[in-house]
Formats: sequence, structure tokens, C-alpha cells
Amino acid sequence: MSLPAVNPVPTQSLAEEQIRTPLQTAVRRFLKNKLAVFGLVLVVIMILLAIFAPSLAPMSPYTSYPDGTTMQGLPLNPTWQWHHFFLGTDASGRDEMSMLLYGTQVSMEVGFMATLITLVIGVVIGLISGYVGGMLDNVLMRITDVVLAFPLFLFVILLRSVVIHPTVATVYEVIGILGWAGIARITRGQTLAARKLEYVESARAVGVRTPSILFKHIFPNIMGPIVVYGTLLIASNILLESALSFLSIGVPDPTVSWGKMINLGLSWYQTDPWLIVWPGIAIALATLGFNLLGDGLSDALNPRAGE
Amino acid sequence: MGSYLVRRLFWTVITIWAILTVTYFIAYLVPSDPARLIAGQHASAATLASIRRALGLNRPLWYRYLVFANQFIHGNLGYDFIMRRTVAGQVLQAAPLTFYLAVVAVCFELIIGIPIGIIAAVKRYSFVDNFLRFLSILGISMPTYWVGSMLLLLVAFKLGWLPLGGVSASGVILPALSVGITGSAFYARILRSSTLETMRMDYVRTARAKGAKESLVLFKHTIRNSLIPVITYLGLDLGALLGGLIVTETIFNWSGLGFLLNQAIGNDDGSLIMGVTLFSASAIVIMNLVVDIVYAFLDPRVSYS
Repeated sequence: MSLPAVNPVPTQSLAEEQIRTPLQTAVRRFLKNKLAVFGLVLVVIMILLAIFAPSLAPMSPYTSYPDGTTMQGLPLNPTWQWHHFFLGTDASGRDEMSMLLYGTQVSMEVGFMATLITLVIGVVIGLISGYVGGMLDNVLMRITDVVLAFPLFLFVILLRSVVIHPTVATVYEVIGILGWAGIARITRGQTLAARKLEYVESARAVGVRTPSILFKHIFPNIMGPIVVYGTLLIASNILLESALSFLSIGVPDPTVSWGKMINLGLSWYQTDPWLIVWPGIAIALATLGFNLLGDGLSDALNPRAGE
Repeated sequence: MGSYLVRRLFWTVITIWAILTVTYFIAYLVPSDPARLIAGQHASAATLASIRRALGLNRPLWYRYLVFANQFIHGNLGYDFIMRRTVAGQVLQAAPLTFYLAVVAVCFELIIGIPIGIIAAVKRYSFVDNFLRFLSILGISMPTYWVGSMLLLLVAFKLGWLPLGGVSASGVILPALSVGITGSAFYARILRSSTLETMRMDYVRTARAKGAKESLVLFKHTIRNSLIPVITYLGLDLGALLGGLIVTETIFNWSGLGFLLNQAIGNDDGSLIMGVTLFSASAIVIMNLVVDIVYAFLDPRVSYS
């Protein structure tokens, strides 16, 4: 079926340009951005590594192998043999490569879950604040301003340090619960703009209930900025988890975390520098992936980009 | 202007009060036994009982909270539970070192970030711009403490150019540089976009039309004006800066607030953790206030309504 020729368009290519949906335009723009695609590839690889870490890992990340240290009790250097301490061992004789692979799991779990918690809290507060307006909006936004002024890292440390029997969930809950102020602000701003749109007003006019307007009509419309913010937030949450684990108040033993590996490796940097090099590269790659992806999404979803 | 200052001051006080309250409730309500939090997990029953008495845990909650707030207002943060020294004393001893490190770190952030931002804006949409953008994103993707570890390994240990750690005149360089490398990316990106915006301004076009040299247009007319958002960001950066400093100080044995906090974490010393958090968070809020006031005086366009 062709377009009706009521308003003939000058060229074929322009016609193609016009029938593209906003989503198609965004996908097209995203795929043209090499850095963004590279970021997406990194993210997909990290997620796959996290899922398949148990089958990919050549050895156990939890076992201190008796032949995993030298006679003097020092870490082994890389052997470059996959099933025999490929990247060497740490000071307790654990296989570095397997620990690196398992470390992906904690980074992804904390990165995604903390971000999810933050987004749920922040988006709900932002939607209500922006849509209801008035006194409630005032109160919520003042609270948001105050929370925004809190140095996040300090309060994550404080909250985490009072938990006596921490799990991996403790870490992402603590990070997630404290970080909602930024996204609440963004969501509120977007909601304020979306509230005035005609389709929202007509939905209200025909008597659609408020929760339904908020989540069915406004939320899908403002998802772009939230997705971008969320992607970048995953990156900073991965860094936050690794910093907590580095300060030895992150995930509990025996769970493997890249930050913890760097912390342990730091005692051996003079003889075995690789122990801090590998996990650092792993953190940087995971974070880089989400940062590039978020940056690319931001460009692709921004209608003013590409000028 | 006067009412702006009053309002800004009011919200600073409210924010510090909120920080105080949240810190109090986190530290004394979440764990089932505050005495155990303070004494650590291996304390004897007698120790726990004496700490409970000392804390006045038999008193009602609101009473304890008011006592705590009253002490805070009078600069009393209690005692740490390992060495029995005042928390305030230790914090005040460590704070100048962190402040010094922070100032040097911000200098590094600007020294690295400003040229990158300007070059990216001048060479906009080119290969150089894209490459610098990638470098910036890579910069914010590396953990500060890892950059610090690598600098320690390469510059201090392998090359032996700078000390491995400790507080000294040259010892400040590596920890500050680690924060500078990771933190500069934000400045570079802000400066790039604000420079691009300024370049479109009429007065820049006028300067160019008058036949001013390109370098003069760039440095005198464009960059001077596009630096304003960078100053704003300096204020916002303080929280992130402190986060970076906390872990970096630990690596380089720089005995500032982060080092103190890490010791407190290692010793399970709740009182000290709380003291450092309260002091640092309040300091950041007050610094933000100072930046805002200075900014309001500098830039007449800021609206005070």
C-alpha cells in the first residue's frame, strides 16, 4: 500500500524519512553512534558473563587450592592455562580468573537491583509530586532538595555499617533506598510538562482514575529520560558497590566482588601487581558499558540531537 | 538579595537538622542494640551494660534525641569507643588535611578538565571531539581508588618519583591526581556544552565580524563566559569529591577524614563513623551555601525571587 498522493512529496527519500516512527528514528540514530553500540555490546557481554559465570569459570572461586600458592605462600603468577590458574591466584590460593567471572554477578545484581529500587521510589514520588501539585508538591520537593544535599556515599556507608548480618541484598537495598532524590526531580519536571498534554486532559475529562492516568498515560510518555538516567545510575551503582566492597563494608564473604579483590590485592602490589590490575579493568569495562549506553540513549532519544 | 540570603540560610539549617536526625535514627534505631553497635560484636555483658547506662538508654527516645542534638549544637560529638578520645577532636584534626587534599584535587580536576572541554568544543563533532568524549566517559567509569592504586603502583613504586603514602608536601600529588583524573570528566563535558552555547551568542559573532583574531574571540569573549557553569558545578561537586577522597586517602595513608572513617569502619566504632558522617555532611552543606552566596554576588543574573 502506498501513501495517498494528496500531498506529493518531492523525493522518495524524504517520503521514507516522514513515515518513520519516533522509536525507529531513535533506534536508527542509536545504531549510527559507534560508541553507543560498543557500550551496548559491553553491557550484553557483562550480563551474559554474570548469567553463565558458573559454567564458564574454569575453577571454583571459593576454594583455596593447596597448589594455588608458592612454597612461600605467595600468590601465583598467570599460568595462561585455562583450567590451571589462568590469571594466577590471590594470596589465599583462589583462582583469579574464576573470581573475576563470579565478580560480574555481584556487580550486575547490585547495579540493577539498586537502580530498580531507586527508580521505583523516585518515579512514584516524582509522578505524584508533578501531577497532584499544590501543597503536596511543595512539601515533597522541599524534602527532595534536602535529601539531594546529603552526600550519598557517606550515608550509604553509615546505613550499611549498622547492619550486623549483611547479605548482597543489604548492599543494593542501602544504595537503592538512599539515592531516589535525583530521579524524583527529573520525573516531576517531565510529569509537569506531560500533565498539560491534550490526551492526558481528555483522559481526565472522561473520568479515568488518577493512578491509571499516572502509570498508563503519563509514565510511558516520560520513560525516555528515566531510562537514560537509570542506565547511567547502574554505572554509578556498580562503582558504589565496588567502593563499599573495597572499604570491606560491601558484600559479605565468601561472595566474590571486584572491589574486594582490589582491596585484598593492594597488600601485594609490590610483588603481584596483576591482582589489582584485573579487577580494576573489569570494573572499568562494566561501568564504561553502561555509561556509553546511557550516553548513546540520551542522544538517540533527544529530538534536538544531531543538529 | 537580603531575602534570598535569609531563605538560603534557613534551608541550610533545615538540611543540617535533617542530616542530624537521619544520622541519629540510622545509628541508634536500626540495630537492635546500640550498645553493641558501639562496643563491637565481641564486647562483654558488663561493658554493654555500662555503655547502656552511659548512653542513658533507659530514658525515652525523644529525650535522648534532644540530648544528642543539644550536644551537636555545642560541638560535642561524643567519644570514640576504642581510644576514648573526643570524636570532635579527632575530626577537627583530620579535617584540614582532607580540605587541603580536596583543594589540590579540584585544581587537578580543572587543569585536566578545562583544556579538554575547550578543545572538544573548538573541534566539535570531529574525531578529536569524539575521542575526548570517549576519554571523559572512560574517566568517570574508572573507580577513583583503582586509579589511585595504579598511580601508586606505577608512579610511586615502579618509577619511585613520589612517596608511597603518608602526609607530606609531595605526598598530596598522587591522591589528588587520582581524584582529578576521574573527576575532570564532568568539568570537561560541562565546559564543552557551555562553550558551544556561548559560541552561538550574538556578541561572539559581533567580535568575529569586527575582525578580532580567532584566539582573542575564543579566550576573551567565549571562554570567560562559558566558565560560569563550571563554577556552579564546583559547588555541586563537593559531595562526589568527598566520596572519592574517602577511598583515596585510605590507599595513600593520608590521615584525613576518609582515613579516619575507614579506621572507624575497621574497628566497628559506630560513634566515630557517625561523627565523621555528621561533620562531613554538614561541612558540605555549608560549603554549598558559601558557593551559592559567592555566586550570587558574582553573577547579577541569578534571580533571588
